[in-house]
Amino acid sequence: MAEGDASGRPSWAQPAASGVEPAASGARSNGGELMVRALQREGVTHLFGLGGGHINPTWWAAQAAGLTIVDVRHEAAAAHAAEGWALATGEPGVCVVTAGPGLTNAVTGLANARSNGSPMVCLAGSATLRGQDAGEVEMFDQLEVARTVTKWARRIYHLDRIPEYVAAAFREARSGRPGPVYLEVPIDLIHSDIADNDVAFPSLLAPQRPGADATLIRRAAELLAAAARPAMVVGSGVWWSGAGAELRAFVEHTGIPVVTRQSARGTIPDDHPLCFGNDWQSVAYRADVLLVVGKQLDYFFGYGFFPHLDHLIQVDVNPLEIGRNRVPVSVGIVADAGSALAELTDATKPLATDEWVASLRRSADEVASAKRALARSEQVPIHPLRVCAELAALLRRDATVVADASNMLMWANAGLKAYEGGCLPAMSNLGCIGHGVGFALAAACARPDTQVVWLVGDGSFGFNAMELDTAARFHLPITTVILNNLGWSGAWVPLGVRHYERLAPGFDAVGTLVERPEELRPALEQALAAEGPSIVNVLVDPEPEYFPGRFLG
Amino acid sequence: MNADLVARARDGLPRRLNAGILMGDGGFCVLGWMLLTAGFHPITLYANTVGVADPGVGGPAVDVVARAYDLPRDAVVELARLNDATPREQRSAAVRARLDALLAAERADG
Repeated sequence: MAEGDASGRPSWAQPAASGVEPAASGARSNGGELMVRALQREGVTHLFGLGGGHINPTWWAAQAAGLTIVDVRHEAAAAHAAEGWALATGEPGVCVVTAGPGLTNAVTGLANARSNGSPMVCLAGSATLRGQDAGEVEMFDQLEVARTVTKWARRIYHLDRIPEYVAAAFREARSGRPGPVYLEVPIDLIHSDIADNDVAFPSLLAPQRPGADATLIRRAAELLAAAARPAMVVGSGVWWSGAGAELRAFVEHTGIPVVTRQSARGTIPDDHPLCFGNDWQSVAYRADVLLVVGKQLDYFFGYGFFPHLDHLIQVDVNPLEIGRNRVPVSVGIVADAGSALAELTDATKPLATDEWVASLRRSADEVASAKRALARSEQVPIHPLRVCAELAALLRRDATVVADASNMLMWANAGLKAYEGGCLPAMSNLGCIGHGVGFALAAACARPDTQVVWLVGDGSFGFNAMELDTAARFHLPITTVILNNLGWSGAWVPLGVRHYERLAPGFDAVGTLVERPEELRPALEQALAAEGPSIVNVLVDPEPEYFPGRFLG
Repeated sequence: MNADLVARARDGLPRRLNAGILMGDGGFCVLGWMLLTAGFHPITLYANTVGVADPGVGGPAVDVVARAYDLPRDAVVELARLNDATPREQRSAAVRARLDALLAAERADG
């Protein structure tokens, strides 16, 4: 056994005295130190993870280098937080997990990011190269599993190639349709060292925004100009492109009504006169020419099935997304969203949309009026929209609200507005629940001094509730608002009244039970003012009345 | 009109209907119930206010119901408006009466 010191760590595993300082003549680095230097070159400042023997060198090198390691209580939260970092910043998040169950626990988070097209990097430890098929602890074919839930998955076999593989991982995560990538380093490799002079770091790649074909842009502009009811739906591609300014310029130049979906929520604010929030159905089903930018033709967009349209114009960085599901597309443009929008702005004249926009606004106002009536409801149990309304009154424009899943998403989208990109990272194409706390942890790290709210159902809360401890340890003021309808509504399975707010004192957090509408405002004010995490457990109507909103033509 | 299907939707109508969402917390609106009765599964309806997410046969809920039940679109719109405009306590009975009327008219037409 290796000789240890007062830290209890074996001496062979100690962080090198040089930390991650630049290479000096004669200096040597272990795998973890090389890994962290490579991460820093990519601009990484935060790692989300849970420690373990297979990844210790990376963990210790990150600490020595001054990276913030947000160590969570379950690897699922680490993976969700890495995606949440991307949703909050536009840049890939990074999680570090140990071998075996460390990776399997992270698989759902990777699959979710894959489904959403969110860039993130998962670094995992693995069994030794010599221990394959020998019965070694925490040994299974991780790479084979990771391949099914990531965009790109690799194992590193040679120490000097760590920087090269890390650079490749970030390029893969960011390029085309973004996604999660996976990189594993066997424990015997990460613990070994190499002379710094024998390691070369690859050139960094500047962000690229591939442009569109000019002929196709002109054709799209012609179709929009000839439309009676042109409309636009934008998706996550706009967020990953960082194209908020280009989107707003195009919308204001042309006068086209726009709907934002998924990560694009807030890239143009919901209170912009031409923005119709996320209500794609009311707009898309009434349009005659629809421009879709960076939005998959998937379940969350009716699979792109709009037989009433005269023309569908689609822009996507991934050619496979054009006309997906055999949807007929009049013009398909393969390009970065920001580049295409800038080119479309130059090519398109202002459109005559005043009457069309006014008719859409009248319909939207009718729905808004119905929502307001429910939002003012004094009913007990409390209506979910009343909760959203009280919350909205207390939130600043730069607040982040993570709506966990299913009905939470619906209530959040109905009762809250997105004013900035990354502020309503409410998405799980995979159908995850309970992932929102990971997103919230990341948002609180990425956007200090802003309000961060995790809006979650009582069922989903149980998945990752222990991450409130993580929030407490890192002094992250995450306000958890539980819309407690006493069960799993989607499956109609009861859970009964549970006092989740009583968990809060265990984490030095503020916890409040709310049963009546007049108790909401003071409870939320107290929670939002807390320096650490807080829980507001709101008993809501299990059978709430909805707002009429169906498209009646 | 597919009278057998309309009768099946009427006979199984939940005692409580929501307003404005095909399927969500606590149940269905009339369109959601009619779609479920016609064979659409919950995932095509879930947390959806106005449309049916089904490749190839999806679209605005009123159009999909009209197609599935071979009903005039206006009749479906009227049914949906009745659903939304009727107070919660009387909603299911009001919708049932309208479905009865549709079936009676069909019988009268022979």
